[in-house]
Amino acid sequence: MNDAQAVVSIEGLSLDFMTLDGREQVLRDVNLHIHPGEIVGLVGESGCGKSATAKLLLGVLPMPPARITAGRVMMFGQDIGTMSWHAREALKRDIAYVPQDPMAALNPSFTIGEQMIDLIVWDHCGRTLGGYVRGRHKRVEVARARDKAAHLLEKVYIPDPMQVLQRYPVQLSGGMRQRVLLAMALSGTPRLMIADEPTTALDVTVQKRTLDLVKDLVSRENLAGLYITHDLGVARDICARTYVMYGGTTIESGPTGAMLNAPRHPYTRGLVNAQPSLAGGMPQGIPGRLPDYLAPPEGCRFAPRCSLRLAACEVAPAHRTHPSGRWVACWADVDEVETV
Amino acid sequence: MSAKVPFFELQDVSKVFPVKRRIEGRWMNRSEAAQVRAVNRVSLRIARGETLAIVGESGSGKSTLANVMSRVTAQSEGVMRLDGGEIPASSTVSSDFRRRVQMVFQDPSSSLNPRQTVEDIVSLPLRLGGMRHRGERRARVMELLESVQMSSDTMLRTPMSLSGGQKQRVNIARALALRPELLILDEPTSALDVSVQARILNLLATLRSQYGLTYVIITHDLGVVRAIADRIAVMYLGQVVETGTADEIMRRPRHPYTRALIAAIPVVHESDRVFIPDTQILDGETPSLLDPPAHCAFHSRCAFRVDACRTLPAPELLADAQGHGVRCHRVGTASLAGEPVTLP
Repeated sequence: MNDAQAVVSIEGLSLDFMTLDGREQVLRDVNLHIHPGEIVGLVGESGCGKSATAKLLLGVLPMPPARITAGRVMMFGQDIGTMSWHAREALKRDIAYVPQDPMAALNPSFTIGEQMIDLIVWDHCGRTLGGYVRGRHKRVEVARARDKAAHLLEKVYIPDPMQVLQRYPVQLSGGMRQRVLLAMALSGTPRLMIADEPTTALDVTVQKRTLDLVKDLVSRENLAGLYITHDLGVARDICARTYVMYGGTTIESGPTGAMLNAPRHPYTRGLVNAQPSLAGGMPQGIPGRLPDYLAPPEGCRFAPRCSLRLAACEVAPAHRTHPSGRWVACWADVDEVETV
Repeated sequence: MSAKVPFFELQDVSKVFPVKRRIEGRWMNRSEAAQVRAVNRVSLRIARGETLAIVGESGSGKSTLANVMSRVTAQSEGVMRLDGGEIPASSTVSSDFRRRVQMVFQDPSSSLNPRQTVEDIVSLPLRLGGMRHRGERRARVMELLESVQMSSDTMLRTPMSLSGGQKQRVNIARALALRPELLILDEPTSALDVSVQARILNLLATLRSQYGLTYVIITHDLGVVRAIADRIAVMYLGQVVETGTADEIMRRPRHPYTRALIAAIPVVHESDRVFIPDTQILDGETPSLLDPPAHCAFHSRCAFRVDACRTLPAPELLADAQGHGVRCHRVGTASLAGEPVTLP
């Protein structure tokens, strides 16, 4: 892995949250790399630290309760730990964020146009409140922003964009709202797209179309993408490489298809077996529940739920790299296990 | 399905909601009365011990149908029969029906009162069912919690302290309290993670064989359907467009909508790819229920549409000898062999 040209590279990241109950050790030993032009998946169940990782990259994680205790996060070749606030703000222009729930992300009281123009003016007037307040009342500025908004909507194949700009979010269907959010995400000068489960609220047929659109946009706009999902099928469809997270650590990574066909980590295998097959038959669940982040297990965080637990699991497993770009963090991943 | 009386039967059941529609293009906005036919002449027969899955996209009327079946709302037209006995269309039904048909709602957290303990929640139907003695109720609650594989010490906890899967177990326990015969489950696993979903599905299968339950499962996830259902009814715009055994529909979907629905499933297992029919993804939006298409409801989005679909009146649900019914002009009863027939 050549880190010099990676868009995002997270190495050995540990993140704690200081709460009233104590120190919650949420992320530990997260390793993730995104190279230009690829969509990388991040899968795992709810509460696995997927969104915390995304928020850290976006720079919206409030840093007093959260604290990086170890590791390094590089974005576009810069270490975000040592970056100034202003540099961090400027960096946000390069990140396109697609949120999860299109209804919650759009304000129901304002038209699509007003919300998009707000965003574009804010971006164009230097991302400061003063600049925004001055720019929002200038006719030239607003007209320019409206043209840009229509152009952005055209990019996501919304027919009749000028008409859509005058509508309220409730007047659009779920798929349309999600496309409006994709358009809004492109309003800066994005180089990286972070999508946090953008299709979970959609029907399968709409989801399929949205996924195709995301793929299309990423290749047209020459973006790198981090696609967070809990749906392994979606990850298989859209992501070239996928990272699996459990209990705040990345446990396995590799080309999505190969990894889902022959998962090596017991948790990944559990996830794949829990997915109902179209051929019929009952899926199998994973017993137990997520670790308590206030007192996570020492060593491997999956060990208390793992059927292949060894004595070695008391110590955090090292990453073992396999050929073909896969790695797995599990002590039990030896040849005997592979044949299972 | 012959002369034998089916356990639960719906005959041409419709649900119509009166709504107000805005008339645009005047100098003042006016409104006119309109009708939304959320469920449109649905006929279903469910045998005892069978599991029927109702699938469809949001807005297809599947949740309204579930509400009608469990009598949360009354149907506007049509007849519903349980064990041959007709259920009156008035909003009040006998407590006997309420006891025999129970519902599990979609969102496990919002269907439990956060101020009550699990014991209060599960024992409420018992109290309403006439179980006066508190100790008796407590014993039954413990029995119910055990049958949904929860420890009896959760009885004193509030829903807030339970995980999503546990909440859904409490919901199921409450529905089972009065020993129902028919359980209507509205998206029982859609709010859960896959590993929890798998465990809830296993639980539902265990309970089905243990108590001889009949299930109606409303879902949009065809994988879930495959795991638990015997028969499927596919809904589109309030109508059943295809019905048949789960195996038959997954292997040989005939209606173009069912094919598109299956084609959109993101596959996880490589071996599942054989089930994905080679068809194009659905284009366009679902038509509004306020003015549904006059002819075949699906013709505006259908990939196999011909002129006949736009001129003939809406097709009927025609079933073959095995009970596999399709509502499509292009799939005639004579040629229910598999692929939609290509007309010359």
